[in-house]
Amino acid sequence: MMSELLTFMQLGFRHIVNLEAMDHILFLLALAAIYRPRDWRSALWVVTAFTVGHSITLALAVTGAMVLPIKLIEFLIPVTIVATCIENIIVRDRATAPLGRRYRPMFAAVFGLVHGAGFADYLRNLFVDRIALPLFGFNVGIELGQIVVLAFAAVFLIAADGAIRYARSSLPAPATLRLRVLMISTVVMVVAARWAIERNPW
Amino acid sequence: MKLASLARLASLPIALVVIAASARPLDAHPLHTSLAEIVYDPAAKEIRISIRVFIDDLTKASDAYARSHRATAKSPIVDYARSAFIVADRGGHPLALASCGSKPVGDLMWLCFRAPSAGLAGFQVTHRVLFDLYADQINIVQAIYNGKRTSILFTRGDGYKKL
Repeated sequence: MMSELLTFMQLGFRHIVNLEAMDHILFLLALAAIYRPRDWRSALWVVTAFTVGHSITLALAVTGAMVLPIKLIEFLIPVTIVATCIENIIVRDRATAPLGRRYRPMFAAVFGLVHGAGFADYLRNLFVDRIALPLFGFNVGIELGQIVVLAFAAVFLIAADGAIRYARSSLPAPATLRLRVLMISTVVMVVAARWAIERNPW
Repeated sequence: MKLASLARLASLPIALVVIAASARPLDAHPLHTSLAEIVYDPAAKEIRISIRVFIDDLTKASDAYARSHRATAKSPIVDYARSAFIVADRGGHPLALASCGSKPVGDLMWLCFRAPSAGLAGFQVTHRVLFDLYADQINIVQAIYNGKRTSILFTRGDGYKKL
């Protein structure tokens, strides 16, 4: 049983820590873009909420409880990235947003519902006779992979802050963070918008 | 408005268009994986193998295999699977896997093989199906024998692994 659990954990982990998973990686980068290094707990909560969201749809879809139109889901995945970037840009005070501190994890969990549906089809086909343990292991592997991607994203964001401070040494810390959020969110949004157009199901 | 200000104003949309144009198209992120199950039947003294592979991928790989083995390939899908999925006994000798049919199940093709054997403990297996097609292909082998279940994961570059 242990070897089975570890095998499916590796499958989930490798599915995320993989350059082919660029849409997933950019989504995590967009989610992490608003946080400072000292906010790592908040970033981890958001990523975990995202995992919970996609675990729910994955379980529902794999067990056949929910059938989803795959073309629509593939289109909605980059749309969630665009929406996250727009949220990064336009919402400046999240403490006063609806749901307060729970607002961003809820938002990530809802978008996680969409992402989970993206690969449910593949797993449903493969694991028709034995689902619970592979699914659990796969989700744990996805979460671990996301934590690794988040760690890389943190290094990238710290480097971006350093580059901004080097170019504009007079900028105060809040303005540096704002500029980083604007730059990263805009670039990621443009790339994801292109993918959304390419995957347009209509 | 001065020329420098105009240039600054125009630089952002131009940069964004360049980024959008240079981003490579991205297909939906598929799970490149296949599953094989090896079960030892002590009553029949044989092993039974079921390999589940996505039909579209298997067709591409077996077509390429058939093109490069024109003289020998009779059933490209079965021959391709046999060339990429190998079970070897304790002495390292590959077992002769006889096909026991195939059937499409949803998007997958289920391939069946069997081979006479006195056991499975200590045997080695390699599952290289579709490694020639995808760098991120991950194959899983589950072996069921002597009342236990073992899982092994294969990625490109892996050779034989012990059950």
